[in-house]
Amino acid sequence: MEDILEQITTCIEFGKINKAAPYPPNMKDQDGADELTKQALEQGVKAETILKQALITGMDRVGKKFSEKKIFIPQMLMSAKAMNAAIEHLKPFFTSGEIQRKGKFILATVQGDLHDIGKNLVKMAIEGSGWEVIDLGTDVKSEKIIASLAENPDAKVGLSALLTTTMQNMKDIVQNVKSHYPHNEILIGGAPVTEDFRKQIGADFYSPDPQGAVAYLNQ
Amino acid sequence: MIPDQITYVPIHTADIKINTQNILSFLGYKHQEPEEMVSVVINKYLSESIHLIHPKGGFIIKKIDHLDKTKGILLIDGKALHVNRIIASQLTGIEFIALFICTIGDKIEKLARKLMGEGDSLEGYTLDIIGSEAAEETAEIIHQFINKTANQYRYSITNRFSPGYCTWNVKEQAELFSFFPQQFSGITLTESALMSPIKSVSGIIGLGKEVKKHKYPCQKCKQTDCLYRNQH
Ligand code: B12
Repeated sequence: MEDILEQITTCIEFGKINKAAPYPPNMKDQDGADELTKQALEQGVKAETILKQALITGMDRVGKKFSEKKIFIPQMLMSAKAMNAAIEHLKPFFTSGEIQRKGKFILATVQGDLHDIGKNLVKMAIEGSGWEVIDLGTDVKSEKIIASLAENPDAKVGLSALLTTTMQNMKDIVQNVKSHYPHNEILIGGAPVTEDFRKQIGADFYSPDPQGAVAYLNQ
Repeated sequence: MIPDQITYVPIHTADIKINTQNILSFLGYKHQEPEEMVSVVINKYLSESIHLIHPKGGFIIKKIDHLDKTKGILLIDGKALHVNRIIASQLTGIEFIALFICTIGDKIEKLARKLMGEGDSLEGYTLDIIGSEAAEETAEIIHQFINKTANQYRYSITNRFSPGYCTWNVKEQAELFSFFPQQFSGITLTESALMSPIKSVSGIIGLGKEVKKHKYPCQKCKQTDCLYRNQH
């Protein structure tokens, strides 16, 4: 069992999605995260063990190498894709409640803003670290976030904005959400956002990149 | 006298030259060689982007009423642009101002979003970066066209400046857009000063007999992660 878990971890670490995937070249024609996860389940390895001891471990290694600048965004994206291929096989176990994720994370690009590439990168990284992400999309008003919190009262919230104008909407959203849910943490990010701005608007955490948010959520 | 009318700049997709090095550097490869997989994806979407980029844009040249360098205000047709002191000082000596807007259309952003949504994030992200480069390149072509136009009247031009850069508040997009008809080149502006399509660029370029194109005065600015920092 140790063996197959380590194999899956390696696939996540190096972004080996499935057997057909040519990348990375030194793993060509070998089984990938997709096949190995299926095999592990067939061998009776618990879904939760696969998630925690293989997938999240793999993504942790990726995150660490990324922070040390040993790998770049493309490898991280390939790892996330390998992770998703494995997660596909675990979905029934999430639905049945047999495995629990670390928590729920409501993510949105704020009202007035349509940028979503940055938000999507954040989504992938946070999902990869074992959280369930509820993606509310772009141009999201505080009412929608409040409604989502009503359904998921323990969730944390992530907000993204790319222009200084929509950063102001971020401020209103944080104040509005906090007035209803003072204890749910709000993380913020996006190109013009800064730590000073975070303090000013009373959000709980700011990070210039998704890795910072992952580290914060998992501490 | 330069005619005070809107000029559409004819731009062909083939004119848009995308620098692969810039794309690599956006993906993080500043000094390192990319893995083969990365080059394969870049090349695939570079060749596909030819069918996805529809560059459009134009400009209008206006005689300026006044440039107040201490307040950082540019007056045109009785409207005030609060370009701020950094930009105002770069515009020293201008007699006219060219206001421009341009876009590459929304096909790239749509496909990038679709790819990302389907889990092909490397492909989606790479295509998005190609779109950003193409939008910048479109602005560069307009810049060159304005230079040629200015030269015909024996004027020189300045560098280009955009709302949202060099401390010029992005809210002033509304003033800039007020010089153009609605939906000019298919571009609209939201209440929050966001242009749609996303891959669009707006800005101003000064014209004058004595003006010079200076490098951006980045040492005066706190925005250390700016794309143009110490570039042009
Ligand atoms: C490429 C680019 C463009 C391209 C493409 C635009 C696009 N967004 O697709 C082009 C050339 C078209 C462009 C145009 C403009 N741009 Co521009 N652009 C950039 C640039 C260089 C990168 C943006 C980007 O795509 N980054 C990649 C993505 C993935 O990054 P991201 O969205 O920031 O997300 C990352 C992090 O921020 C973080 N993150 C994001 N959300 C969250 C949320 C949480 C919770 C956490 C923890 C983290 C997090 O994680 C993500 C992954 O690392 C930035 C400067 C910069 N260095 O960031 C300026 C920038 C965004 N642009 C800016 C401006 C002003 C403009 C224009 C208004 C200029 C003009 N007048 O034409 C226009 C507006 C376009 C429009 N549609 O309205 C400003 C915005 C700030 C402001 N002043 O309002 C910036 C910040 C540059 C600056 N002045 O410093 N731009």
